[in-house]
Amino acid sequence: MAAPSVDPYAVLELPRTATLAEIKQAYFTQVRAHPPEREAETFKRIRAAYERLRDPEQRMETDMLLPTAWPEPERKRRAPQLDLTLHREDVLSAARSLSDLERRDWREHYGKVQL
Amino acid sequence: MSKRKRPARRARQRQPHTRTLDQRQLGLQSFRAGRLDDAITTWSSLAQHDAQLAAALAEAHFRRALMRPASQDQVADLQRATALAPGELRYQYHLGLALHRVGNLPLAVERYRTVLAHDAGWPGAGMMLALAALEQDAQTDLASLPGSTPEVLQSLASVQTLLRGEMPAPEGDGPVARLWRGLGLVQTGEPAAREMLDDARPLRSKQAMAVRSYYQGVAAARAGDLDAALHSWQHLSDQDTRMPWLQQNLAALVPLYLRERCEADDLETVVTIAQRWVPLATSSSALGEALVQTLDRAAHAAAAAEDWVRATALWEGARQVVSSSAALGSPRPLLHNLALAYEAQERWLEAADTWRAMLRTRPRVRPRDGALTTKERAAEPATPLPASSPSGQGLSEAQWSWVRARVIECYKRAGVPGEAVAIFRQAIKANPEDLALRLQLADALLANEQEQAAINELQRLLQIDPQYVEAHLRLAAAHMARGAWYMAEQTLRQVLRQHPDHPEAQRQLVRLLLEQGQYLLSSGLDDAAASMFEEGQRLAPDDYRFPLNLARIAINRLKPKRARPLLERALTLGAERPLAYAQVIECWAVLDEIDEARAVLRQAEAALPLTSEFYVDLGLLLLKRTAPRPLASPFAEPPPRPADTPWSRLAEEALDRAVTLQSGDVRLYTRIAVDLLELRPDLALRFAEEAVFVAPDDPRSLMVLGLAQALNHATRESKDTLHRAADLARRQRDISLARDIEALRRQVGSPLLHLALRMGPLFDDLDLEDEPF
Repeated sequence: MAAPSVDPYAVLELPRTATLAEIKQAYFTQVRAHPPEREAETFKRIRAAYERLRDPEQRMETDMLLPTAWPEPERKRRAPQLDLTLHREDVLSAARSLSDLERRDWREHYGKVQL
Repeated sequence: MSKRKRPARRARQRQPHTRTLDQRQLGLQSFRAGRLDDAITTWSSLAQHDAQLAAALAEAHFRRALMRPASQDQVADLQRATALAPGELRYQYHLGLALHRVGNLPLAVERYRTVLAHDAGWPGAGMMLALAALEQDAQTDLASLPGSTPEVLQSLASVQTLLRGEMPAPEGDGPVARLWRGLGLVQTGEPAAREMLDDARPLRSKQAMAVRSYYQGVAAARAGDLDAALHSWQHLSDQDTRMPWLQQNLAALVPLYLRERCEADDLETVVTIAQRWVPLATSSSALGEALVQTLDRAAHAAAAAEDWVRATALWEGARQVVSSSAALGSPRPLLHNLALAYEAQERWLEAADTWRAMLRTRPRVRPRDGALTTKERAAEPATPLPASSPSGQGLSEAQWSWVRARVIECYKRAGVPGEAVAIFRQAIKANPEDLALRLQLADALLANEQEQAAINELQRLLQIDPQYVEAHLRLAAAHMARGAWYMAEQTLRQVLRQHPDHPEAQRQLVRLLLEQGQYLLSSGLDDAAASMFEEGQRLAPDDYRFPLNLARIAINRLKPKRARPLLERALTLGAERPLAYAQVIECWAVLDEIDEARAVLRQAEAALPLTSEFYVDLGLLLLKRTAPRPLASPFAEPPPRPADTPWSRLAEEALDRAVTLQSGDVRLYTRIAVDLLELRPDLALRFAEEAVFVAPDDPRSLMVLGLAQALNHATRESKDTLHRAADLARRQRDISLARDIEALRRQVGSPLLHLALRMGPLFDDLDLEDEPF
């Protein structure tokens, strides 16, 4: 299998949901803009794109060979709001951390043990 | 005897006391070695009646508590210590701290008060009592508490002010003072908070620094500097901080940041950030959605630039996000893209596994979905179903079938064609009732060229569900693959008897009728072919190939009048297909109706933009139709040069039109010359000369010219030209071509030259691939 190196939808300037009538219309528009006697290579690309999209089976294959965009969600998800307030807990946690609660070294409180 | 007893009794009497002494010392050894658990275990049973030991045991509990993290175990150790040595204020104080840490403020306050009652100046007790009181009630009058020295009051004044919702007074410029003032400014929403908190000096504790860093981010976010906010919070997130709203704020900030960077077209930063925050996606579906959108867009851009490695990494990241949250929907589109990316890199095994994963996202179908009820059949559209669902929301049956085929193909390319077969067999063992799986197995067997095994599997399937249309269609395809046309036809007709409007069955039968009809026609069995084409025409009334083939049959039967309306119908149906015009012209050539052929050509030129390939193919087709038959033996006398006929003139016009459309194209001239070498060597010579005129240093064009000269009996010129061609090839370091040309040169003037030309491979590297009409 070779993925289409050129996206036929892009060549004909069509969305992925284009109908057959729209595909045909786009083809003729492009051919008028790039006639074969003047732009042989461009015309070949246009023709190849048209051939890929006009036939249902080939179109299905083309659709499957092109990467799919991640769909937009049906409903916009509500993002959490930024919380820019000062939290009491943070004031206290800072105060606590600056007190004896966070201190680790208590060797001066060690007592002697003699038996 | 009594003497012996006395030492034993003394030994027995001595033992408990010795044992106790040993235990105390053992415990002491453990204590001094830092094995506090052992010391506590050893002493615990002995300390009841031994004050000295009780003190030692208390100390052991105390030291063990200090080694423990804040927990009920720590509290328990200190409670035991205070119970064993109630006079020790340091145990009371630390018990207060332990209770404070686990959130038991009333008991903590009680302990602090106990300590202060015995020693009003105990270091730290006053501060801790005040802090605990503040935590319970921000309005507490700190000055009324025992141990509230001016230092204590000063230390906690800012904290109390903040807890009351007010702005702390400016007191000094130390890092702690700036911290409190900065938090006060955050509380009031003032922009000066950023500057106040922008202090690189260390604070005594990591948690205080974390708080400062966090609110630096808050101030930056408030000022709209999302970059700085993200930087502050990102750094914090990497550490173990106790700030529950950090994750929430990150989940809120990252989508905003990504949007800002996207608008600034800063794709690299966007991708880096998105990849960094994939693990956070579980906390917010909005964040997850933003990450997936970002990663997917970047992956598409990479794929468009054919940077498949990068595209793969980005889609893998997006997949990871989607798999972390059911709210984001099916990962199918990402799996689809990933599979394509793997195929582009020829990583066939990963591609196959990914296509398989995509198959697993398929909504569960009824096992008998092929058996349509009457109502469902009536609901089906009269025209063939669209083959694809371009909106991306849900795939059609044809598309799922395509995916199955990719699984099989990729395993084949990975060198493990049986893998797909093995996988589907495995899956069937787990789900023997799943008919779709059996169908996939049949596909895999077909792809593995195990047609008979596929047929067996399909027949097994049909034993379970004789109405399974998909299975019947696969069976027909399997028969066709083996060339068993009759069996294929019978199978399709059986389906159509029960489901007369089934589009896929009709389509397959139409294809069978066309192929089989053409085979019969080429075998001279016109009647049988005609009935095939007539039925095909009824099934596919818009397919121009059936009236075209019926016209050919009429021509074979020497009934041109019957052929005419059929040819007109073929042109009407195939009005947009250049091939249709060419084939109709061919029919008029067989009927020797030059005016009709020219009229059709004019019609084609008016209806369609025609390519040079069309004209070349048409010209060659006309020359073949009107050329003398090929020689039976290369030793036979060559026929006289063909006369100039209206057909040859039309053919030459077509070829001239082709070169006009693509003038200067050496490949085109060469292709025409090669195709005409045996058919019309005189014409081949003309085009070969034009090719060499355009590209005098191309050894291939010279080779074709030399051959054309040879076939036109210009032996000496041919040898000279071929000699030049070989020389050029050698100079261009194409030794293999030079050798081939030398070999041909040796055949010039000999009948074996025709044989050499018919061998074929000589022109393979000319890359003269025919392009379709």
